[in-house]
Amino acid sequence: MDPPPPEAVYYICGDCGMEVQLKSNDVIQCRECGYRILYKKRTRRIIDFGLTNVDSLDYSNGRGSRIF
Amino acid sequence: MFGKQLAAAEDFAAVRELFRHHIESFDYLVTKGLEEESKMMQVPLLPFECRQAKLSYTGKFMAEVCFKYNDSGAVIREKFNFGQLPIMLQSKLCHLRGATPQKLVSYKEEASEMGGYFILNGLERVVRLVILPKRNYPTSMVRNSFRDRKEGYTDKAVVIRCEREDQSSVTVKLYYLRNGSARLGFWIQGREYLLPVGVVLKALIDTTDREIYECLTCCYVENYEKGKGAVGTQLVGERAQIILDEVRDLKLFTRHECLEHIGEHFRPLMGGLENERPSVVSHVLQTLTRFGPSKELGFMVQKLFSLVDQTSVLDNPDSLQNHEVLLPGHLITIYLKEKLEEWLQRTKKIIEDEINKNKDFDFGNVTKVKKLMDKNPAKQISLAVENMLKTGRLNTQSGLDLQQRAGLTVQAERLNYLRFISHFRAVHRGASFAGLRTTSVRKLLPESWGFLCPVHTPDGEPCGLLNHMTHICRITSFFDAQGNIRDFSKIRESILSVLSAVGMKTSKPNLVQAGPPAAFSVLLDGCVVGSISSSKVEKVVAHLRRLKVSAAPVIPEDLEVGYVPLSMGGAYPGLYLFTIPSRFVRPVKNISIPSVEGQNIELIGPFEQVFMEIRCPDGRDGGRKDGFPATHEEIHPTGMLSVVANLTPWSDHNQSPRNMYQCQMAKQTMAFSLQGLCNRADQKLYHLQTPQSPIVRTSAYKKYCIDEYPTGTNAIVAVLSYTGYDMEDAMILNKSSVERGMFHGHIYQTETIDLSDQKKRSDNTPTYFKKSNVDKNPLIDSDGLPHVGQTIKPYEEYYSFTNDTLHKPRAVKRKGTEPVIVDYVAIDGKKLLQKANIRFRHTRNPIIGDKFSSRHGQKGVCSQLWPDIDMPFSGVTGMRPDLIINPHAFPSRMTIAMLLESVAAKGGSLHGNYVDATPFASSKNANGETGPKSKTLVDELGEMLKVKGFNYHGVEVLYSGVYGTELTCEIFIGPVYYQRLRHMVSDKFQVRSTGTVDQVTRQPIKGRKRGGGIRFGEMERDSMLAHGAAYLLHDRLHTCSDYHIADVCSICGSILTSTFIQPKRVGRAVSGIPSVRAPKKVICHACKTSKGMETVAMPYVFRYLAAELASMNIKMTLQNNEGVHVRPRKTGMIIQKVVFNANMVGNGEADYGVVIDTTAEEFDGSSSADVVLCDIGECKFLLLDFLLVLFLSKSFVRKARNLYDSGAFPLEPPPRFLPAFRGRVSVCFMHM
Repeated sequence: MDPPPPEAVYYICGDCGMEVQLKSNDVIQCRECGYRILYKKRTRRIIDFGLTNVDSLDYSNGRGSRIF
Repeated sequence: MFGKQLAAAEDFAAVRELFRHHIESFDYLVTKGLEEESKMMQVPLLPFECRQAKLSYTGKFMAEVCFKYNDSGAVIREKFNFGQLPIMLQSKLCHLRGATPQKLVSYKEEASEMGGYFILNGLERVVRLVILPKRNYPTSMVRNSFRDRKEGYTDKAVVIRCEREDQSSVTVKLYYLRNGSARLGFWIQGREYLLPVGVVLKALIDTTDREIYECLTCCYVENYEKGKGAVGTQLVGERAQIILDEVRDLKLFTRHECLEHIGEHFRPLMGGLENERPSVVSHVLQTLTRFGPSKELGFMVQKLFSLVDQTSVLDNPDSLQNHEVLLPGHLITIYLKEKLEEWLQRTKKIIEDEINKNKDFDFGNVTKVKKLMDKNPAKQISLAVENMLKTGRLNTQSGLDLQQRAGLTVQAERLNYLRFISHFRAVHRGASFAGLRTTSVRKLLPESWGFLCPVHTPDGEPCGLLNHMTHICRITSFFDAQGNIRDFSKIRESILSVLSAVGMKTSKPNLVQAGPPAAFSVLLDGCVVGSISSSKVEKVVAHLRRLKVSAAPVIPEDLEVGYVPLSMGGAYPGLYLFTIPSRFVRPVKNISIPSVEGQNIELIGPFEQVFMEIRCPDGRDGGRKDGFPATHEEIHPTGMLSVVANLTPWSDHNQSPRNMYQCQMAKQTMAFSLQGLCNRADQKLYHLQTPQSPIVRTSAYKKYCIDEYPTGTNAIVAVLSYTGYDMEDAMILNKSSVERGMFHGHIYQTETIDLSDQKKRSDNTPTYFKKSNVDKNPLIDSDGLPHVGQTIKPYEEYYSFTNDTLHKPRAVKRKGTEPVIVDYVAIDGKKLLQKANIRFRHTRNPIIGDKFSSRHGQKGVCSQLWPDIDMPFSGVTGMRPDLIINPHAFPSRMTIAMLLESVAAKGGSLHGNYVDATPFASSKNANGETGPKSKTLVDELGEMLKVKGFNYHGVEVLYSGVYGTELTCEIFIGPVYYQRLRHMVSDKFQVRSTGTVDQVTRQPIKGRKRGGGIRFGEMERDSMLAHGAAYLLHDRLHTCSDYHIADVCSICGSILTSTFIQPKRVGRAVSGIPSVRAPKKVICHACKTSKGMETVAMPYVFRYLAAELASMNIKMTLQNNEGVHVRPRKTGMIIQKVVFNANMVGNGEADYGVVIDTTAEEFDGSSSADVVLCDIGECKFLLLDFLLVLFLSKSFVRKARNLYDSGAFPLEPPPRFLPAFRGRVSVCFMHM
């Protein structure tokens, strides 16, 4: 089975703010202004925030119960 | 508060002032220090991009090199590229220069970006300001080391640091000899040369002996002897005679002969002058050392004699009066100069060699010469400067006449704005003083009043060495107020004309001039320019000061008029004028001049300040007598404080150490670090998410725009003992307040991954980011980098890369101990995706153990996040405090300002305005300047509360949140501005049960990062012993550390000779059923029997010790209890005796040894052992340390090694043991 074609990743140009779509092996450059620092867009995937809530981050005791 | 318009450029003017000295000194470098300006590249590379891409912010450095061959032939000029020189931000060559705040923001900088630092490999580095001795001022000194120069020298000398035009300097010392003569000493190429002063005096000017004699003795007039201000004594004449005799003894009679004499001696030292005439060498030497005409030397001799005769007191080398500062631009100038000089020398050598080798070498052929010069790459020079800035280390032969060679630059941390500013205001005394035992350098001296802040210095190791300039203190520079570069020769000329107009006798042609007390020598930048009679001098000084302040440009506004008056054995009198740059100056009001709208602000320096009468409006006279009326007045008493110290509200109501603590803690605060946070890729950034502007603030708060970077939160603080959880500086936070966002913060940590570095490893195939097609790791996006906003837990793979040699992309796991969120991913443009900045966000919301502090040095640790419903509440408003602190925090610390702040902030918030808390504001009133002075501060604040129906003293009736009952006393409650400090438990906690152990000792390793243990040291052991907690001790130090069961041969007593015998296979393993293993058999290799084998529990280091000792030919024997095998415990025998044998003859018999009678129970350290010492006393420490080795093992092996090295064991050890000898058995880490 062939691997699926690589998905494009969206970036934002660090200079003009345009959205840049890059596939693998594309030149890292803004199409509009030629700027070479690009920022990745925030993902639109659903992120499991259950992991990042206060309980798991504050290391109360790792078993879920919190110390008062 | 934050919705306001972007600040206009003028708003930051005060802030810009704070950074000015850094930038101006660099501007000097690029405009005057270097003739050729360096230029930035065509396509601008902005500072922001350098930070992002971890590059250096540099400009091309071009210079013209002139060639000249012999005297014939024209000079050929050729441009050379000297590489990329680092450029200071906001300097004349910087793209950001002159940009408005709006423009700066568009450049992705802070709106208030002030520059003053360099960007090197993406890191921001500042050149540290270092104190130097004041240039061109002869200082009298007493040092014992002077005595050791040579026979006949005394400990007295006059030292002058002579400055050349290009900022480089030479220190010249004039030593006093016991016979009454003097020697001039200076350093060339790492050696000190000493010349008789008479020779130099004569060589410098064409004169007669008589004139020299008069010049040296002119300070002595018989009539004035023992009078006020007389510096000469009768002895001066005799000494002058000796000096002249010395010259005559050398058979030097004329100036020419003296020049020849000096030149001959120094000819070999002067590179390239070997063939010149001696007199020429002398001249070169003179310019090198810059001891100007004879008059200055004469003045130095007079001062030296006066020091010897005790008619003047010696100068304090630690006093700011005799100091100036080393500025970044000047440092780079002198460093660059030396590097260029070196380069020229080397280039010259190369060309000369080529000419000698190759006879038909055409020097006129520039391309050929250039090719030749490529052997000595010019680009190295900029690289050297960049390296110097990167490491802070000077790589020089000569030392550049500086005291220190390392630690000249520091990283400008952006932990918070105050810390960042402080880097530019800090002045270090010099690294060489840090190691000094004496504390005299660290002393706070009155001379530094108004220039260095007495409050803002760290406590501990750098205390008093690392000072900070007061907020009004400035450093003089090469630029005037209009930004034009100054011509100092012109300035000096105009000063001279002013001086001669008011009656100074110039002494241009002849050396002789009247000395004190009749007349004052006038020194302008170290040159004696004339003399003024004593009756006139005060008028002249006043006149000069008037001209300084006036708008007319005859006298520069920052001229230092150092008038040292006549005194009985005080400082050496004279009128010392300084125009030079890199002096400290500060503004004061000149009240002897009629004030015309701010026209009476004078800039004064630390040298003149000592002899001036400056009134401070603190309500008192400062001990001033009527005979000396004040001529000047401080603008405001807060002028003595630094920027950071100025932000403490009502610091005049605090005990002073508390203000010092606050200066420390303000710089450790987790604050609103940067406005352009989205553009930063700093390695670590602390950021407070919900900052507030303080209700109670000082005038400096607004002046320095701290609202751009607020540092804390106005928390409602109740002072009561509520649960007991607020004991000992612990504090209770309201859990709901925290959940509403109070003190929420993040740590931003950037990881820069540059895969292009990895190219070298494989055969030039590039490595780049790529996602694997096979592994379906949801954390990695299809470009091989993590998703933005994704949480990554420890040991999860978050990016992957590949190259052609790898079969499939290799994923990299995240290190660390806590989950993080990917904040941003920035990629940097190349053809391939090779370079990325991944920024992680660590959540740091307040939890138990985090540190907080008010602005009054009152720090505390959060002990509980108490639920809102259980917090006490106000009977009237129902308000619950955000924070509870214990009343015991106040009585002994006396931070009254914190109480005032609480009341004032309460009043301010009720009235809806900010409250001014500028210190010393009331004393200003007391002076009768402004406002009525009827109310005290407390009255003022209490009234504010009373008007709104609150208690006058700021107390309220509270009810217990748990019981609902009224608390028995009224509670002091009000808003106090609290800072969150960066020390957080999440970054500090260290836990371990079992884990990595040290290879050699099998004890737990150290270090939080590596999951190590915490040291249970001697002190801890002692306290356990004191408690008699023997079992616990045994558990910590043995069972949980390097517990080991050793096989000991009870026949020979060795633990090293036991060996395993491989048991023969009993039966072949049938598949599925494990083979029956025969029990391991242990035999003693020495006794060839297993009869005496016993198992003994011991610390593993003990075994190691035995091995180490064996390597030194010392045999250790364990003797059991009279050979009887008692088994009171599970493991093995009781060791009764441990015997060390120093077997010198190698026949098995001990020459001497230590026997320690000990038992296994006593492994816990509670030893009451009988000790049998054989033979020599030296073994005593063996014994003492042995106990330590057993239980904690201090540095026994090192000592044993020393003993061995000292020859106590004359026999060479068997060489094969030596590699086993490793440094130490010292640390015992326990499992927790």
